[in-house]
Amino acid sequence: MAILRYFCLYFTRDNKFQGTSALFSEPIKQPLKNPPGFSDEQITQALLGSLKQREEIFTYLYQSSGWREWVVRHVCREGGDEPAGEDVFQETLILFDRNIREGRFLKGSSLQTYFLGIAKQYWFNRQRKIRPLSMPLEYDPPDTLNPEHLTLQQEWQQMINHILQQIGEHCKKVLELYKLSLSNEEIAREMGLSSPEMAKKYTYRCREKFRAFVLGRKDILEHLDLRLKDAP
Amino acid sequence: MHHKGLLYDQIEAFLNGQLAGDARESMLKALAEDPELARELELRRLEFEVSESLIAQRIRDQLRGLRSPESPPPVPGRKFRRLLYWIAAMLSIAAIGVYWRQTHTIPTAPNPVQAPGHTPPVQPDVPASSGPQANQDGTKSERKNTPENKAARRHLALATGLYRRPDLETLRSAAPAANDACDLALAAWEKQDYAAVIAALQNFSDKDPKWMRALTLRAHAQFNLKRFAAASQSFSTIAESKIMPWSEEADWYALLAMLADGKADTAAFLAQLNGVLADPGHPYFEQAKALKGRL
Repeated sequence: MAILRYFCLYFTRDNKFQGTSALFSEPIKQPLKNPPGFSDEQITQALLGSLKQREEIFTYLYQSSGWREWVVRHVCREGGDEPAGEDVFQETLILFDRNIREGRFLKGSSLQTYFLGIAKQYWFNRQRKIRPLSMPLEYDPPDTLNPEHLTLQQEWQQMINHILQQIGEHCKKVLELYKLSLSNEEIAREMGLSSPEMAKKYTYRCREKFRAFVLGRKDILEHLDLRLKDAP
Repeated sequence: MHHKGLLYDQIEAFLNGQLAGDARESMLKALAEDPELARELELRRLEFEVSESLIAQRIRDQLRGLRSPESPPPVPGRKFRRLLYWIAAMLSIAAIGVYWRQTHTIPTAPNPVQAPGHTPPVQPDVPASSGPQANQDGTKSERKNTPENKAARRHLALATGLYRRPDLETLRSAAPAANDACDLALAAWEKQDYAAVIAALQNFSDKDPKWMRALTLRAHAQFNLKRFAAASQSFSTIAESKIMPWSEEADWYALLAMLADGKADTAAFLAQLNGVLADPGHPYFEQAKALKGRL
């Protein structure tokens, strides 16, 4: 385990040696930078943009930002290994993307600080699920960690997976594009449809199909009712 | 639809945290008083979650690709790029030459109108001698499509011109497996090895949850191999299943396969065409209308 951690700390994904100075340095405090040519504003715009823009920015964030290396080092330092670090980076990127799209980032800090904050919190929560840790004083344990909630979450996830299997690939893509707030024109282009009007029609149909599918499933409706009762 | 649209907009705004002040208060009050509205909200929330899980999956897939050992080739230097441009230009000239030659050796087949961005259509066969009819899975040799008259040739050219090789990347399973017949077929499809697509799906069970994907792949492979009769049968099976969205796509492709197979005058073709035209909401309604005008 110690050897694994050593390698995890001093080698990147590409197995390039990082230098012995890293052995005594505090990796977390190493300066980070946005990808060359990408400001916070540009990253935000790309995440809110087309599929192509999003893919480009994810590639830059993965390969050139230094954020991934930071997350891997943090996870290794806090008892994980490199694959766990990679996984935390991935899940952080998903949460980060969603928060940006849903306007939850209030611009109180730089994007990198925000990203790394999510990563730290994510790893802390995940560690807590694996084995109990002593909590830092400032940590306010979320209600989402109680066993009942976790069971419900798992059921909810299973239900989502089940729905995904049933609604068909085309509708899945339509729902995804719609949720990304792409215009009808962009959806038409992505789906290979003849016009934005067709895309609008197709989106409406898929959403109605989704709705009809759910309404036809007693078990899913029961779960929804359960959520309704739990709602504040 | 209009009323629902408004309702959806309001619920979405609420779920996205975009309702503030009085609007939010009245929404909360309405939710407490109206169980139907509350259920509608939960439905939208579920739809959001499903959509978000798809977005997350796309990100995971992309990062998996970036992590894979097959790193992209290095960016070529200026000289090398220039050489590539030259090769591309030469290939384009050669392709134009081949195309010109082909269009002039089959003077009776009109040049099909092609929508922008469409992949090159399957070229009509040069008339040849007839062979035996293919069986459903298309494993045996099939009757060569030898249209006997000008109208049939025109229909064949029209069908292949309207055919668009679909992007079936969306059929890929979330976690592709090396021994999954559907994923193997998809890999073959990407290499345009259509015979291998059919071979990979040869023993695919209709009890398999991926049956519709497999059937769709097979039908397109059959079409690209110019086994139009078999393709028509496969597409019709999908269309008759009424499983969305497969059936709507298949409605259109079944029409094209029948058209290419010289069946434009049959009752089955007309019934299929009229079926699409009877539904203005059908994704291929406009194309079907245009097709009818060109027959």
